[in-house]
Amino acid sequence: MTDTAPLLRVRDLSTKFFTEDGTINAADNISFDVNEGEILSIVGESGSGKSVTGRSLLGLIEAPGEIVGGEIWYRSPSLAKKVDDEIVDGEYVDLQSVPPSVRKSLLGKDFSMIFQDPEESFNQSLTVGRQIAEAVEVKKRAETGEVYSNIDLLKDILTPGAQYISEESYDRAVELLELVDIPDYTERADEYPHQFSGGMLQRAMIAQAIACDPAFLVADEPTTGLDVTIQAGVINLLKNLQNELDLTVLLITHNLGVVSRLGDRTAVMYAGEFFEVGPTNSVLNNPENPYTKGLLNSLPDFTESNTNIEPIPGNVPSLLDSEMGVGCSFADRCPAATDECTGSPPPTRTVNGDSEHRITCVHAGDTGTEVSLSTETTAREELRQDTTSKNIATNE
Amino acid sequence: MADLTQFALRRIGQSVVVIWGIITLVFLLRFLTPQDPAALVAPDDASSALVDQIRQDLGLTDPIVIQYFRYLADVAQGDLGFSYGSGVHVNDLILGALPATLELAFAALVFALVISIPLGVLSANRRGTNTDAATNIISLGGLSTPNFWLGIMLILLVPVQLGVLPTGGRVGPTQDLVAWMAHMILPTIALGTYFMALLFRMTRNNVIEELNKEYVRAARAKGLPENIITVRYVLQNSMAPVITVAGLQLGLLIGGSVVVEAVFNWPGIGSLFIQALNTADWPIMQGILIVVGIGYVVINIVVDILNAKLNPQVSLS
Amino acid sequence: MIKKRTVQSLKNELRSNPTAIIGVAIFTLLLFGAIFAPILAPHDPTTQYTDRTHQAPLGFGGESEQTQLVDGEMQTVVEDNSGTLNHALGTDANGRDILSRSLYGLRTSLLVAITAMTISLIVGTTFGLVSGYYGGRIDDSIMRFVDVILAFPSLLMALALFGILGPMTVFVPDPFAALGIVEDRPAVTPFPGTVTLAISAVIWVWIARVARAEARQVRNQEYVTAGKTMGMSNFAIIKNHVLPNSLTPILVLGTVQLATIIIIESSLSFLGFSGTTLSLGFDIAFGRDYLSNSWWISSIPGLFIVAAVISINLLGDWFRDALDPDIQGGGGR
Repeated sequence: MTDTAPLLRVRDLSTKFFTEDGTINAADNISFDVNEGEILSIVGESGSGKSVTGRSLLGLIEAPGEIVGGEIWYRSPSLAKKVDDEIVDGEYVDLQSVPPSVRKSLLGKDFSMIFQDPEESFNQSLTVGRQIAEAVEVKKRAETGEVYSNIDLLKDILTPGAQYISEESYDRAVELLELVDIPDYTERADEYPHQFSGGMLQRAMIAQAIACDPAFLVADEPTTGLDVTIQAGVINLLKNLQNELDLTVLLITHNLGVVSRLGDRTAVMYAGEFFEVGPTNSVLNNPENPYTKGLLNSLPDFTESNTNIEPIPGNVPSLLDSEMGVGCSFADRCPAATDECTGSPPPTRTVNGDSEHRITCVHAGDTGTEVSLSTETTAREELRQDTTSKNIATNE
Repeated sequence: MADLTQFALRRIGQSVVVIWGIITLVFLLRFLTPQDPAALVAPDDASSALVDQIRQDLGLTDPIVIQYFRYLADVAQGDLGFSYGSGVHVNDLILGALPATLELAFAALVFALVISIPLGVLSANRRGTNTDAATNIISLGGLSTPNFWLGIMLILLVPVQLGVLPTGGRVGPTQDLVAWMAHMILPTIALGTYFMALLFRMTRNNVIEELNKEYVRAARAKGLPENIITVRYVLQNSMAPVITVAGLQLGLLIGGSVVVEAVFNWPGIGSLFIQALNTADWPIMQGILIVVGIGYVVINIVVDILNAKLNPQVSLS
Repeated sequence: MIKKRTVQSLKNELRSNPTAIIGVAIFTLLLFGAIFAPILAPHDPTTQYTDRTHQAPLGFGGESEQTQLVDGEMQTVVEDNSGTLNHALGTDANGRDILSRSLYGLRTSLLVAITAMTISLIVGTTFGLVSGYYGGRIDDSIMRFVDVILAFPSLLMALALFGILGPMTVFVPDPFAALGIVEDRPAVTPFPGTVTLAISAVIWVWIARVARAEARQVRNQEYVTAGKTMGMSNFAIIKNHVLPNSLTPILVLGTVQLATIIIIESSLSFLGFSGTTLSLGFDIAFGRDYLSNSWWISSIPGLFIVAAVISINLLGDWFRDALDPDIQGGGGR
């Protein structure tokens, strides 16, 4: 149990994609907290909505996608002073209600992101050093108050070496490359992304992400594109950096191995919903949700040679609005499903009396302990009613 | 940048074969014509013996192979020959006419780029809106209008109906700056419109594609300002095909200006070519073809080098 | 040879895309007008109605001063030459009906375009596929040759060829006149042979390039290797595997080039190098001297060209949107 207030409190977040084929519910009424200084892993298969969740938090959802509902409370006393009182709740600001320019201004300063495929996420036509230096420069200008203008653009085009970026930013970029253990970091800074190997480029991406010393970092499948042998190095790097810099990280992955090494808490996501949340040890060792169990069973167990791998039967369901039912979205593949499961949304309960470990399921969890998935037990209505309250209900 | 120099040298090396091919093809063209150059040069009442003599003097009785190597050697030294009909050195004629054409081609290029690229980016950003639809319709019109007819319509509208701007001809910049510009406006628009429409379409398509890519999203996540993202991220990566096509088209502008020059009485190599065609003056035509052909090859090399500088991952990796 | 899937994609796109429908509609209309020109044209395009020169199109008024022989004297008479239904698009300086001339001119343009396109497609596809499939020396030589031709602007090259070959007009008997369906129309259609050949000579290279890129892609595919293992001859492989799979970008390029061909043809006839005077470009040139009073003589033939080219461009867009090939990369997928 944490005794500091969470950095982020997500309430009833819903993100939809309005496509030609129909409306897709990528994230369906999700609520959770991210505690300061922790690594929260969101685990799920492809298409579960985990990446969308991460991007929704940062405000990076583009058409045809849209965040259609919910609140994202971000704890920032400094920001709270700058915005209207209606969207402030103590030290928290609802990012969904702030003006777009304010939301955008958090990117590259308070918030940062590591993307899945480093080759796709770097600009192939600019040197790696310059791109990292740009990230440093963004933060620097935010602090000094220097504004970006078209003069900068002109300087960038007309003079070699992107003169709009200061020397110090470049130096810092080289330091960052050293920090992420890239050999020959000084020479490497002047090279282009295609000259880096996959693992090194991912480290460079990490360097770029921490360049602004962010409060909150979203890591979207940071190891997925890499060779297994390289993955370990990147995982260690992330762990060390997170420790040293005291970062708050949202780790998105489908790799349970990575989760077990990195995650403090883990959330299991399926078809746009959270099924189980709790300390990583609890969730991975004592899973209660049938889906989580199924997920763990479908992994080969390297210690026992006689056990069969049991895949989960069926396919991931369609996320189309028109095709989703009211009840549990896993019901059609769940071995424990009953009629009760499809009739209405399944409740959320604690597990084994541990209030940290929560689960959404009709059949599992401690009965009679219906709670919300966030570490806040107080209903959302209280927050709404009492907007001037400085006393957010504590974790329970 | 040693990579870039190597690349440049390699491209130049590859082009030598093409240049040789150009000269050879041009040389062969003359042999396909039924006209007899000696007969053209000779006075009207010359006896056939005199014509034969002239033919020999001109070196036209030598075996083709010999004539070919002589021609190759001449061209390699920059000598494009002597015009039978006008009695003037081809080089002089071409050098006299080339600046006018280059001036017009360059103006058309600038006109096209200045309008098409910003409009293309704008249209891509406003994809699906009315702005986008409007610019698309206009570009379709520009793409479908023959430049000579456009020129005539412009003459109809502006000098004839509105009474401003001249209907044709050229005035040098040193003589009268204002008149020089006034004379250039209509031909530039006529010549550059197709170019502009083509580049607009390409820019728009490429930018739309780039905008969807992850690195653009990553740049936004970094907090970079939109203007830097638009130019150094989106545009720089969209421009490679656009620059290539711009280069190709520029080469075509230099010859394709033939018709526009005719409409506006512009004294460029296009007009010179037509005059030569009407008098069967093959040395001039050949000279122009060689200049234009080699010019095109050179432009292509420049374009490739430019692309290599902008997008090193494509050419140099 | 054209895959069902291709036809289906085209149909789907046509259904959902209004501009494609417009393109098809306009093009069909113009094609119809061109083919049936002898029937649709209200007059013989070569007949000069000397009493009705400089007549404006329907709906436009106008007067002109004309010098005529009146009672044995040359006098300047002010004539009312407002538009009439008889000459719906007006008459030119010699009194020829512009609508009729434009229809016949359109006929020339489309005839040349289709013929030149066919020749270019055949020659270009053949050389391109061979070059791309075999690779090596053959590829190098053909491609260098292509590079050489590409170095010259099409117009200059076409003009040079015209200088060598002369007009080479082929007098094609008009089926409508021959069958007696129409009277008082030209019995033969002058077909500009050199123009067609010259245009083919510069256009085939574009087709060849694209065909080559496609062939290079396809030759690495497994079904080609499978064919070779089964002992298929190279020719059979090219015909049965390479060609059908390369068709899409060639098709799209073909429509783009069709538009270019029409513009080149009209440019050549504008400059006076054609072989027939029944051409839109020629009419535009002819009207140049009369821009200040009889603006329609130059404008209207041009509008026909613009309409034709717009419709072809829309067709090209239709093909491209439906089949989505990567034209710029020449087939990169």
